[in-house]
Amino acid sequence: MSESTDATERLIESLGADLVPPRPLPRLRSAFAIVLTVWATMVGLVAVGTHFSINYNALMGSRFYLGCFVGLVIASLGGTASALAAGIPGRERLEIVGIGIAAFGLFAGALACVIAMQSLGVDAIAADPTRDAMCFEEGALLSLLPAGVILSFMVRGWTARPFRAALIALLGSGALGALIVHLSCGFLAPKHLILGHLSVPIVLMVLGVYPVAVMLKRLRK
Amino acid sequence: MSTATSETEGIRTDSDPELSDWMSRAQAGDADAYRKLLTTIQPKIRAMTRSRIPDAAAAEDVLQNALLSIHRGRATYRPERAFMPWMRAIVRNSIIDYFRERKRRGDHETSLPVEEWPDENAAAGTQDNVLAPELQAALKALPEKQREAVTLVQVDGLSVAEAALRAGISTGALKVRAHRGYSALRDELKDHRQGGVWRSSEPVGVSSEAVPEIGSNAKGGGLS
Repeated sequence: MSESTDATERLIESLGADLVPPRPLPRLRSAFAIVLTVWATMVGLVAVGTHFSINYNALMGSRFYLGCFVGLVIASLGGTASALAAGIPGRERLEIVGIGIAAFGLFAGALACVIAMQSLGVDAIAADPTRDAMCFEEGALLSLLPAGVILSFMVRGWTARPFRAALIALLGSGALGALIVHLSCGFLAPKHLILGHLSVPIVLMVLGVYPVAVMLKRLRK
Repeated sequence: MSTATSETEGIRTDSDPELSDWMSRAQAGDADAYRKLLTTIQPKIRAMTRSRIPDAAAAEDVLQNALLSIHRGRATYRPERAFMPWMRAIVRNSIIDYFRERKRRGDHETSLPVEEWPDENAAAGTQDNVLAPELQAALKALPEKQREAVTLVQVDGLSVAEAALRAGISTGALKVRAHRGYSALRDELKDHRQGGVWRSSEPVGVSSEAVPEIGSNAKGGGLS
């Protein structure tokens, strides 16, 4: 036992000798603002590049479109905050609350679309697989940069639960990517909103959780 | 010193502002403040680990892992926030990691038949760091990372946490490398040992734990 205690003393000495001033991690709110700034810049660039304009008519005229929009906003904000908190010890409460908020947002968006499918009838359910795939691909591509920014903060931090952190980071960034698509897409079929927009964070979570978690785990030295 | 007290996790913290100050100075590169900080929090962490882990050696191992985690995650501490909740979160995660790893081992690993290692080696008056030629050759044949892990823990006698720090990897990764190294050594050396005795008459300097049995706690870190 005393040998172990000696080893602990030696370890403390080694850690003191090994001390290098770390690069300070930005405050949580600053990191959050940086992610949102990157996202807003992307919206601007995409708007200029593709000449899209925000579909205000759809946003205001269709309840399920608006419901889906609000759901994606909640999911992206909650997911991003939670993912950033996951990299900081002692911020577990924010992490857990963020997960709950993000899951609620995703669920609320999907629920709005499902209710619309039921109330609008079969015609509204019909979707265009090509458009679904197109919106999904765009959403997935547009979520890469926010995901990169969020993960860069997480890698610099100390992620205790890599799988949970990876899930929530992909949820947040996927929702941010899907939001850009949602703002520009004029196709108002509820089924399309589920398959082409809301599916982005879900599919990203399923496909990306393992590699991202392994990466976070390996980089957690 | 201020006496901001809080009763959490069964530990009373009377020196949080001082700890925060030491940590801030450590973040700026003050090694003395850092050593003071680690020395001061060490008993607090030990109390936390021992209150949850009955095995004293395992609790000490978790303490070392927690110290390493604090070291590696030191950039995440913000001076305007209290130190103790930050530290407790790291220690709590180290404890959870320990129990998860133990459960995983219990689920997936079974002890190999005990291979008796000879007491004759110790009785032969052998010296530390003098390995039997067979063992030296087998060690050389190991992949570099496994050799490093085995050497640091078994030949140099470092704890797992110290060895992980030296190798620049996590303790989990070090245990995996060392475990693979032990398995490879065991396979390589099984023809060289008969009835628990080296065929070669050369001295063997490593202890009887040189190639630990899977499932047994090796020195300093619960290798298994």
